[in-house]
Amino acid sequence: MPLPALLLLISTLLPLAAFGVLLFAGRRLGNPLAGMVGTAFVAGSFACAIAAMIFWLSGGAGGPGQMAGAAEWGAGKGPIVMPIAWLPTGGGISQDHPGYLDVGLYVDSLTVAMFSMITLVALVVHLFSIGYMAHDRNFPRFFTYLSLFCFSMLGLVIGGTLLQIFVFWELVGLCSYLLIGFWHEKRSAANAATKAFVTNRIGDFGFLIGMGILFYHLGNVSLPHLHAMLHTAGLGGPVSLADGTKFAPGLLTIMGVGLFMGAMGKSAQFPLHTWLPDAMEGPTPVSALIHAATMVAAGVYLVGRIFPILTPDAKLFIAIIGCATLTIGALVALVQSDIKRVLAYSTISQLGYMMLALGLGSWVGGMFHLLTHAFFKALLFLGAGSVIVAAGHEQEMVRFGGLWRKIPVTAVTFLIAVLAIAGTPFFSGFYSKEMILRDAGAFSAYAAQSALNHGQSAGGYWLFFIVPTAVAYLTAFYMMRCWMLTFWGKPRDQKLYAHARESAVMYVPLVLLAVLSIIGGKFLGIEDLLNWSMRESSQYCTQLLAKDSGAAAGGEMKFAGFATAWPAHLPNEESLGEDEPVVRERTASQRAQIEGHHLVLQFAFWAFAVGMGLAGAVYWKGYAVAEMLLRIPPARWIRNWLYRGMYFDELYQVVWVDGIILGLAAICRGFDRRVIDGAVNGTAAVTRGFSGLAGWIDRWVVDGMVNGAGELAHGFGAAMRSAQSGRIRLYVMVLMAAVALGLAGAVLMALSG
Amino acid sequence: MNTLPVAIGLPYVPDWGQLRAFAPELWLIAAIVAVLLTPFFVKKPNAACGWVALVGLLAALVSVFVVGVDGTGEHFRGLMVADPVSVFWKGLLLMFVIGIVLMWFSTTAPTMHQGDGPEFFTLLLGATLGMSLMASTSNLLMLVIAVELASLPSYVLAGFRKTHLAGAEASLKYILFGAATSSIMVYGLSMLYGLYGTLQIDGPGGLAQQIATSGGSALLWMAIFSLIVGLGFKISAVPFHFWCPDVFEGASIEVSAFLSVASKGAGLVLLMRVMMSFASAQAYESTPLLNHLAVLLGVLGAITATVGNTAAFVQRNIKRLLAYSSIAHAGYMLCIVSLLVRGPAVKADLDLASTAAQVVLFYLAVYLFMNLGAFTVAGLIERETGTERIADYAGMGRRSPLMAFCLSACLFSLVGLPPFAGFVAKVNVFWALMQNGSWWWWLVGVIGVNTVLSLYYYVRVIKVMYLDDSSSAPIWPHPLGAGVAVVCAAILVFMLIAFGPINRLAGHYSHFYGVDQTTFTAEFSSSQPPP
Repeated sequence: MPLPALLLLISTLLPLAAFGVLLFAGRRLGNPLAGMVGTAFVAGSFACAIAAMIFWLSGGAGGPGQMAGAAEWGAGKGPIVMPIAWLPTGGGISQDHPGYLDVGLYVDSLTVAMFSMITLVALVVHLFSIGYMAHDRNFPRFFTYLSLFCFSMLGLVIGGTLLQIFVFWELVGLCSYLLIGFWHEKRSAANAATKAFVTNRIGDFGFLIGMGILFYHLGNVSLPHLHAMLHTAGLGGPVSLADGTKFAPGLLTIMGVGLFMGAMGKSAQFPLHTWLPDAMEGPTPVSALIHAATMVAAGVYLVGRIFPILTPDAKLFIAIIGCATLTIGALVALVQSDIKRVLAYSTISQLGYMMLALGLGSWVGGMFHLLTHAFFKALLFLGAGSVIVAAGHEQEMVRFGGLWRKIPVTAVTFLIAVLAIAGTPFFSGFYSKEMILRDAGAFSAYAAQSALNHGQSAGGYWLFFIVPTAVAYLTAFYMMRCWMLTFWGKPRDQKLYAHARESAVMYVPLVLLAVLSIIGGKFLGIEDLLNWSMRESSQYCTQLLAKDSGAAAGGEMKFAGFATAWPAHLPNEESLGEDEPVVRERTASQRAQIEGHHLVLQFAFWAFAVGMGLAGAVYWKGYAVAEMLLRIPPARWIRNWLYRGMYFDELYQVVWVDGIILGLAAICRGFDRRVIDGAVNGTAAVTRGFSGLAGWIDRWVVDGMVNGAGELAHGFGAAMRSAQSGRIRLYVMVLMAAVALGLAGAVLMALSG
Repeated sequence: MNTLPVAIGLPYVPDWGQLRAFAPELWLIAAIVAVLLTPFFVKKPNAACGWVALVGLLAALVSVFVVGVDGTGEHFRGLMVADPVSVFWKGLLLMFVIGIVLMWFSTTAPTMHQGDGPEFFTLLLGATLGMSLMASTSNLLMLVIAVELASLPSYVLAGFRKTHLAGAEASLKYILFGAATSSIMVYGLSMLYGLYGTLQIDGPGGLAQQIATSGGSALLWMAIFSLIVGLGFKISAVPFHFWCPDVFEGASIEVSAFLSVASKGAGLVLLMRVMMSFASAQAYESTPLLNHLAVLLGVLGAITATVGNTAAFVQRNIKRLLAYSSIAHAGYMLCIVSLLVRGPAVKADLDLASTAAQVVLFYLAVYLFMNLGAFTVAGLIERETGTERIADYAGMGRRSPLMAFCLSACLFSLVGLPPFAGFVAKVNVFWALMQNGSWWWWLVGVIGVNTVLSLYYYVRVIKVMYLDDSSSAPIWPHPLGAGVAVVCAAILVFMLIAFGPINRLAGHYSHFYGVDQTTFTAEFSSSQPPP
């Protein structure tokens, strides 16, 4: 096994070992030893991930996917793909083990980057939790769940097939459920956990449907093979598979939307976003790790992985959903008063950005934002956690204010995170957000132009640029508002203020994440890694295609890969199937085109300054100005509407819970009572009857004959009677009868046949 | 014609190459001799014999891996072959018997009368030798010798607990029943010899080929049916199963476990070999003989599975329950053997037959660990509490969580529930049957219904262990036996993960020597005429 893959595998398994240790010995280890054990294992995991990254970048450990000519573009390695034949399924085309369902590893630059991010955030959160959870009764249990989560999340990322991703997907869902409901004595926490679980299941139906379509048509759900197979004929028309069948683009769109539904649930996309704010009932470190940095990003990761097999229609759907989500999240975040709910809605909004980017074809932008967002959002949550601890488990910003004097380190690091998420230049968020907005602008410009050329209206496409840009202003505003209300101005609750104190244990995680939030954009080379990842996948697919079609080695096939998918939403777009260099040129020309619109980009650029400036002005003296603004007639209505999350919960309650469930329940009850119970009872009765019959035969026929035979065998003496010779005779009698019957049958058959 | 008289009068000395392929058997013979000599050197020979047997079995197992498949054709003038199937089976068998010996240490050893050990292990190894020969035989004479070599020690083993009344009774039943069936079988085989004048099964002029060219007759049918009776006894197919529950209940538990897998497995492999020879010789013409044979085996399998499962419903003794469960599993495997015959008959498809062999081999591999684990736990509990009644397992989840978990894993696997290897084995069965459609859908239905039925009585045991409470004291099982049980449970879980490679291994070894050489160009068999 190539070294990076081996290291990543160890990195994945270490948290599992921690889970095993804590599960059996957690109680005995107690507080804080259990936490330290968990942290130590995750630290080992982190070390392995970093080592893997180093070997990966040094390029000396190329796996089976080592590619000729790869040196010219970077890391010098192909993806490491290690499929194992697992379950026989009969069919299956174009795969390493025909007739089998594969499982295996898939390691490319994205995997390596994700591993570093996940293990780092996990390590930081573990450290933080030792302090945060110090007084909790169930301290060991908390770390047990946390370890299981780390294992599941890493397994999800390293999985080479959709099936594996799905399995770990459910596992992280389970961990999320357990951790949201960690304080299940609180009714609200238990409810929130159930809500998250159920909402995610809705998305998972889609996931299963999408996977089923793929499996039915291709007999395989292994990632690189899917890419290769579906790109053979491009996505424009019906896709010809190796066996000559066609895979209609409509079906492919349904497949893409289905898989995206899974991502909608996990990444809290509209309309399945309502569980995430409630998930804040869980402990704050959990919110930082699971509901900000890693698990909710798994949906984005999934879409990133299936990106090459999405049709333009599916991508457009993703873009629209992303656009709606980022708007809703930002609007609702504007008026929240609970510090964690602000962050939750902000997370929803940012995830919307990532989805939008992927939908518009900005693969690097979406994944880049995923990685940078993980750092600053984890920092925000841990900062919030620090505030909450300092405030004696108070979360309402109404009672905060002026806390920066009491908890300066938290205030400064929180401000850094706010600057990053607002897109301040030289902070990490700036680079990823700029890339998304620039690509969105390029897409809009190109799409609009193309639409005009085809005599269609171009207005709609511009929304894909205008909306996210406008929301960037809102983002800066609500994040700065959050900071101002918490740390600035006069203390609004003197008693709380008086007792506020920082805990030193939490410094290290905060500072570490703050540093990463600053340098993550330009200095960690994330962007390069992502670009390589794209190239790796393309090249590997090319190799696979060459292998499958038996084409001569060396000649690079016409393979579009990631880059062509970029402008592929357009009607009658003819760019598919072209050579890659051509595509790259065009991409560059489109970038140039939008960069010509300097004015447009300026809008996006200044969002941070305007938004944060406005927020600073409005909330300089606490709520005073805001209260004044609310007096303007419809403002309070709008504020209440937003404050309740646009009444989505109430809407779902009426439509789904009351409307359908109550009605459906009546039908189901009837069905259950009449049909299912009938069938079950019937089966049970038949079974009972059958076994009763067998018992009856045993008791009366067999025993009766035995007894009768026993009478006959009376003279055989005591020794023989103790051996129940009658029964043996019966046995042999039956045997002989069977033999006689069989022989007779044999003769008959031979005579007749 | 490969007739006997040629050999008579000429001294036959097998050369090294001939012997080498049967190193496992030679090691077993050496172990038997060593076990018999042990009491001369040791005061308390029971445990010492156990260790000697263990070493001998390990040596034999290693030699299986070292020697592997021998492709030089028939050995000892066509009496035996060392083809892939037989090698795979020997590996399984030896692993299993090693488990049985370990189980003996942890269950019966302390209560066994000092000085009985040498006899016990001589018999155990002797039966093992017979069972490994059964898989290698390619001659009717050898077939009879092998079956008897496997059976006779088994009869004694069944009644080895001399003071135990039920054991003596079981042994007697076993002998009488075995005598009846094997007399029928030998009678049938003599008819075959009378009909065709040869004892050789495969090869030019062998029985299979002659039957293919001369077609069927009533006598042939009777002969084949008699053969099925003899092997059906070993497999415990209904209606030749009567001995099974009584013997399992009466014998000590490691003997029951031994018979449940080793005896059945050897019978199945031998049956597969004979059927495969007949089928492959006629592969290119659809003969009514093969069709009827397939239907016969399929119906036999379906009846066996159904009777086994329904009878298991009312059992209250864990050993009887496992006995009926083993009958049911033999039924499932028989259904696949019918496929092995039918495939070539209908579709002239020897690959299909090979697939069927693969499914049976994989099933045997999984079945081995399921049964070994279940019997081991039952034995350990019996040793600690002295009870075999299922009702007395109440509260086992609390009294011995590890044992309860291992037994649950084995039982769930026996049902064929997903996280365990039994699931994969059963999926294999369904998949192979469904691939052939038509008539096989009936078997699929029967096995499906049977699986649902079996769920009830297996899970009932688990229910008793976990849901029924009792105030009995916790028990601490013997560590060696606990180790065996844990390893079995772990393998059952692990096999699902490593399922592909193991299945492919089984596929790799699912080839018989002697079937059509042009079809089976497996890398093992380079056909050379016997010397």
